[in-house]
Amino acid sequence: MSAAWLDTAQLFVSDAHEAFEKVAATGTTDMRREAALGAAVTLLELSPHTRGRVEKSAAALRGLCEENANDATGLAARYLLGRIRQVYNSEDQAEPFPPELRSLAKDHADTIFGQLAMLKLTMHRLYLPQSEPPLAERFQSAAAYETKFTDPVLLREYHLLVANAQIFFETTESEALRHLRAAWELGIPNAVMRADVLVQIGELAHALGRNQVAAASYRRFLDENNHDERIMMVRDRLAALEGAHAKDE
Amino acid sequence: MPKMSRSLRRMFWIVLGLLFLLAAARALWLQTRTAIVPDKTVLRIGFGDSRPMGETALRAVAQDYMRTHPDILIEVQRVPHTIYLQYLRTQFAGETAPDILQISSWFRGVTEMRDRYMLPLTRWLNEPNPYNAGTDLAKTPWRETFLDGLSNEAAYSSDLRDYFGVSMMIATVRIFYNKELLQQTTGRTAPPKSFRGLLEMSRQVQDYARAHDHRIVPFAGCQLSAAFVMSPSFCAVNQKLYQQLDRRRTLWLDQWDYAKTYLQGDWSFSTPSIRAGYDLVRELGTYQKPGFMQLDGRDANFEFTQGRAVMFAAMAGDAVALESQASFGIGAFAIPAPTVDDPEYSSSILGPVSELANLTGFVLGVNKLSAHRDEAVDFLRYLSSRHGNEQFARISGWLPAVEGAEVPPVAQSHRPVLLGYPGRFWAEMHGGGDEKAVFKSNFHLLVSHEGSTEAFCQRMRQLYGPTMSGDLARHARETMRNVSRQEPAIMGSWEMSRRPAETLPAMARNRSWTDDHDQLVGAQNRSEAEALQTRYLLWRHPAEGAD
Repeated sequence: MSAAWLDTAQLFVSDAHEAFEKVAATGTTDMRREAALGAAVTLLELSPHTRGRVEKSAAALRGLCEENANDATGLAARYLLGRIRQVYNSEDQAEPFPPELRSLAKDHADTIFGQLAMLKLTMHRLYLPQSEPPLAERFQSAAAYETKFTDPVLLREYHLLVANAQIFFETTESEALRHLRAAWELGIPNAVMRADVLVQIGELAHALGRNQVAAASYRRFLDENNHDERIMMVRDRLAALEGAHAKDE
Repeated sequence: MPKMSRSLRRMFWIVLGLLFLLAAARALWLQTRTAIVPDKTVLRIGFGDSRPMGETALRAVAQDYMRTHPDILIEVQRVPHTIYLQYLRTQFAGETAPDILQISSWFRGVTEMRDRYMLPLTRWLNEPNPYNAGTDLAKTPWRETFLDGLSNEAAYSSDLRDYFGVSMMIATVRIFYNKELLQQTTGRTAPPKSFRGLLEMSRQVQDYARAHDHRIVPFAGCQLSAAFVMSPSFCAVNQKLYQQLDRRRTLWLDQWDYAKTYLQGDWSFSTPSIRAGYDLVRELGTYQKPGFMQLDGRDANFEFTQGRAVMFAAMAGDAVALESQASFGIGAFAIPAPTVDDPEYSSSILGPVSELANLTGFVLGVNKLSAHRDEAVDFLRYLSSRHGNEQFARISGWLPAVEGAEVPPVAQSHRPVLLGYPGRFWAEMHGGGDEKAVFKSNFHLLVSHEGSTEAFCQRMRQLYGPTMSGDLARHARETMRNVSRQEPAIMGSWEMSRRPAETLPAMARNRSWTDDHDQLVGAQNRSEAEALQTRYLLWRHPAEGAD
């Protein structure tokens, strides 16, 4: 089934779906479960995309959960069911806090699907287009998850998510900076993201009067990015910081 | 015509039918054939650029490559640009697309196809290009060898946070001028060096035309050409505003940030620098050929090459074609904009306008379904090595896209201004959806003889908010659709990362699936958060009619 998962990873869903269906019909119990998962997830993207296919996929995922909701396949199925509710429905029917994701976050926080669930729930709670809950409460709920992440990639994603939400809502600059620096420490391999985070750290640190942090971040940006439209603006800021530093001396 | 017997008529139709079938079969064969050459891997390249010099240059570099790679045969196929989009759709649907394809954001809809059907090149781009060995680029990651770092709309998918193509040329725009006509109408032998100089020169041309009852105009204008002239000025006087609108604290506005910040009240059609920008646009509009908004590039080209306009703003890559069509000497200069010492606008200007975000042309990527992906990537590495890109530039006459590649003599005056402040405000503030159409249909209120900045701004006050809200809502829906589309890829890459390398298909072993999963999860999170932010903003700031 590696070949089928490879096709899935590359979004060759038609070939993958066919391969999964074959194994799901004839394989051993474990193989059948994994293949049924693969068939359900590829069904979501088979062309043409129809509501019927999404519902069929959801039904297959529910079947997997009924057999066993807590093995690797069951956890993956629960996650996908939650995501179908969150992002496969139209905007007015989307459910920001599906029960599948809530139970994963509560009972399986030590698994990748539990932590993905925490991430997605946090995201949808922070940006819920309603007056309630108030912003402070949204950030408090997000903070409750911080110590539960064990996967460094997902912890980094959590920090970036909360940092950018702090910036979006113009709440606490120092908290936004803390999260950005924490994300940076965990490592950001994507070059474009790295450049953005370096600028954000510089901007926030500068606004908070933490000039050494700001200058270091701007310098790092200039070192790593030779072909970026922001070079002049970052140089201006660095020059202003260095000029101010010289004045203080 | 004599009446045919029944048998003759039958024979006639049979022959006609056979001829039709033969023609259809040949067309299909030409469309989809892969040359079968023993012991050779055939790489097919398809592109839709209308300029023949691109094909000539590509073929020449391909010939060079084949000399050192005798096991590879490269076939180059230029498709008329008018049907290129349709060509891509049918080729992808039929799984018969060439191995290497041109991605160009000029073709609306191509970027969606790119994200779906093209191979992400990021992992190769993060490594040095082996064909730069022996040069100062030997240790530089391939992506960083490009003058724009491949941060252009065609090569980089902001939805997927992945790179899909490599650029072969930088497409600056320049004002081409008729040397003889310039001297005849203004007495000058050299073009203006400054923005005020350009205004002065344009007035001189108009004065000459009036005095001599001549139809000569300063600019052979058309929609796109006029936009080239207007954009740097508008961007220059809005440089400070650009930074003030940076709510994300990245010093980078994307095309949706203008609408979002408008809805949040950060700018309006009363903002002084926005009004100043429109005043400049209006003035520059008066120097275009009357009725320019209804004209296209071919009309403007004709006007210029027929000697009826002193100047024509066009892509620098058109220089060779213009020179071949004109019977007069042609010069070129960079489009000037107001500078920090401008007597009227200095307070809102920070410095020069960067051309880094200019449209990069001839971006080539790899078909995800290609049976020869490694070979295709290798050829792209060769083509976009310093040596390959120099050769491409020399033959095409275009500006090279690779750092340090020699600029051909014909393109010397076209070198881009790389260091400066962002120059995308004008091009991006009206988005790419319905608002762009609204802008175009009301632009006459700004640039027509009876128009004014006030009339235009008053109209846009009524329309911009509601129209952009609709565009933003649509964009959020599309983004969320792309988010959902990533779930199988994320699940697939996670499954692959869990398996020991030796159990994976051979082609999947030399790849970090953990990194792939990391990249996909990060890209999905970013896009999903952006869509949710947009929905939140639309809820919080419902658009009203006037600002």
